[in-house]
Amino acid sequence: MRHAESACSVLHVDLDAFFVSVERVLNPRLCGRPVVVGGAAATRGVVAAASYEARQYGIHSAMPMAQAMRLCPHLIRVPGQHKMYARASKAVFDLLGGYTPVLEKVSVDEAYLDLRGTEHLFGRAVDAAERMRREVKERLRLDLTVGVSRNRLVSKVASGFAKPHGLFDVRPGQEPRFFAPLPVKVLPGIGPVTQKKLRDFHIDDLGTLATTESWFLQEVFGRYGPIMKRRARGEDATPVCPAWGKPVRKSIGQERTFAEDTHDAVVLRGRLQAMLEETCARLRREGWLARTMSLKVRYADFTTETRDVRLPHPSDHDLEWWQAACALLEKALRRRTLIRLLGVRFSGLQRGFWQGGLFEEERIAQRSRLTVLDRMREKYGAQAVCAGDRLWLYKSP
Amino acid sequence: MKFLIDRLAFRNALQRVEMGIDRKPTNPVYGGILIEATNNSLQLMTNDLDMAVRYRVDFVQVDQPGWAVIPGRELVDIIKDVESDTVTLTLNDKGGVELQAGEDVCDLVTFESSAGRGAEERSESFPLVPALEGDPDVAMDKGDFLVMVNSTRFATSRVQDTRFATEGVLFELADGQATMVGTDGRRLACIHRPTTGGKGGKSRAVLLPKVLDQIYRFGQDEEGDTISIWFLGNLVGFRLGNLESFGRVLTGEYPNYGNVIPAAGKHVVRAHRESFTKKLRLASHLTQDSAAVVRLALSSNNMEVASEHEGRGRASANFEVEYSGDGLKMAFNPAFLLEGLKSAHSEQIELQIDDASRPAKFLLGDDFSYVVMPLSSLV
Repeated sequence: MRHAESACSVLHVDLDAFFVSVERVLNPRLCGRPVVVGGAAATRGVVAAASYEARQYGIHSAMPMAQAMRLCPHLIRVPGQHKMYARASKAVFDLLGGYTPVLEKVSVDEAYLDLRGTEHLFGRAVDAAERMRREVKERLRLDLTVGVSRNRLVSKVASGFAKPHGLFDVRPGQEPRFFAPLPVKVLPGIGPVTQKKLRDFHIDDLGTLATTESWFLQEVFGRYGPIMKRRARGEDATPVCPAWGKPVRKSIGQERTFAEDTHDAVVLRGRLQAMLEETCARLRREGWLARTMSLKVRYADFTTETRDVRLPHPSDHDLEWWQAACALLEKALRRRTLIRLLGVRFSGLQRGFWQGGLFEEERIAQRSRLTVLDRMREKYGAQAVCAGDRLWLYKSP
Repeated sequence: MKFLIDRLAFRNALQRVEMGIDRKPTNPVYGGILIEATNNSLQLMTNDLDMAVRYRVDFVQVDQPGWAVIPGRELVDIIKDVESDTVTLTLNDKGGVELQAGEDVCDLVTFESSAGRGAEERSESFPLVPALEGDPDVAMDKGDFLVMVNSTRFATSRVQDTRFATEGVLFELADGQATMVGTDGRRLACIHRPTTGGKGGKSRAVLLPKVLDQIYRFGQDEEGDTISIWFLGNLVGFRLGNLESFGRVLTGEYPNYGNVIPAAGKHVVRAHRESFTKKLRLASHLTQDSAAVVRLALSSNNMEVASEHEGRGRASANFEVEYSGDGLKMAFNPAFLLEGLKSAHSEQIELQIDDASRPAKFLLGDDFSYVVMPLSSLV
């Protein structure tokens, strides 16, 4: 773990329209045309990534596919190939790892790098960044945008500013000047609610925020107020933490949008069971135990509710979570509105060991059975053995 | 009622009955202290329906016998803060109590009193407990009993279990031997001690830990070397000197502890308690708070205690033990081991293990076994 200092050494790298770019490498005929990656409109898919050509039509990620098609009738949709994207991402980060071991991957297409100490090998950080962009383009045919500054925050904003396929270098001491004219929403952590509050006080740009009195911000936003002011001046002491420097995973989960909004308890229970089985299998495969489960429900009117439940002991066993999950679903069903999306997420993850009980022969036996079930599913597919509630999902029409 | 009492003697007596005051009483009287003044002695009593405490104070100058139920918490706090050597407590005709300590005077209400009635008339609303009369069901050495409490209390569950009454401590009598067991389902402490008298026979009760805590805290200071115990249906009564404590018996089922104590392990390790504790404590500094794990690796005459905290570092500590078996690796929650070792009675302890996935048995003194379920690796 290294703390950013005065030198310009922290890079934020971002792969432009990553999924689309990979698709274009695989199929060059997609180049120069409006392309999106995502599920089909018929199955209520959403846009996972949009090319810059598509974005000109107002299409953005997380937009329902049907709406995207309406905005651009000649839009080309390709289904996602996530294994391929993971391979491409690994290739890019392996290449960037050759520049510095202090590389913190934040998503499949985004990372922070700390280049301190590499000046003798690659020269100034901005030159190294230019070389990275060239190398990624030549070797992998992918566009990389890089923000260079002396801390993570400014580099992140700089890369957003430089998009697409650009490079932006903020020299030390220039951070306040770079930030001043930018709207407050570019600052990570300022969402719509904070934005609205700031707007109410006529604070629209980072320059104004940086010169607002701390006591005032403290009064309005609490502890986060003065922090927000420091960040608006481009101050950030968060170090770049490579994977070996910190436990990375905080939660594991999945969510599904239904083909049709539903209030059918049987379908919802079946879907919930399927998600629990799959997510718990993933917990077991990766060696995690979870303390908390959250059930996310998005209703047809797009209101979203999340409810949490904790077990007395951490668990990776779907049967142990099942009753608690059903109780949460029952509560969600009390609102007599159709449900559009259901999601399950496990957090409070801990790794490595499982505490059995002295008087829990049944629980220990269940665990052995689970190991056998996992092996069967691995060999014959996830649906080879499943709980009864889930069968409703596969019933013939 | 009117009496004069030494302030320190009164404070000590109140400390002994304090644990029986209900902090959130459904009926105000459960939050009170029943004070009965008779011929040159004073009896204090509290009862929160889970536990009751009765304590007798001798050498009190009783000018007028009587009784009153006085707000407990307030009385305890007042007596802690007054500065005079003696305290005079007087019950007036209107049912109020005047407490005089030197120049200081406090007037307290009473929930019920003998004012306007005869001193021999009993309280109607205060929940009284039976007198401990006749031969006790069991009598045993006070020191032995306190050792039993100290050796098992730490292992009881801190939360209520839906299946078993593991938040309590099991107390069993059979064949002139007393057994005490505490478990939270993941570790279990079991200790036997001989009884010295009483009616004998077989008895069994799951006791609320609160009453044992109270006896452990004050038992040592009470006169006499014997503790007498009465099984009174849904109550168990204990008498040590002037102190009588009563605890409610938990009604839930207690797990069959005999089944989980391994008879004898294939692998036997003898270790010095102090060295083991020090190495464990060292390794436990590098464990995650939410999922603390230490790994024990046994090889010929050596034990390695290792730990790792993702993102912080790892520790490995070796020390000499008596062991001649094959290499063996196990993982435990370090807090379970440290708590057990802290309660050990002997400097040399013995660890018996069958295999890495079965409960491990620690022999921590005469007739004191401590069984801990190891952690299983997920990957």
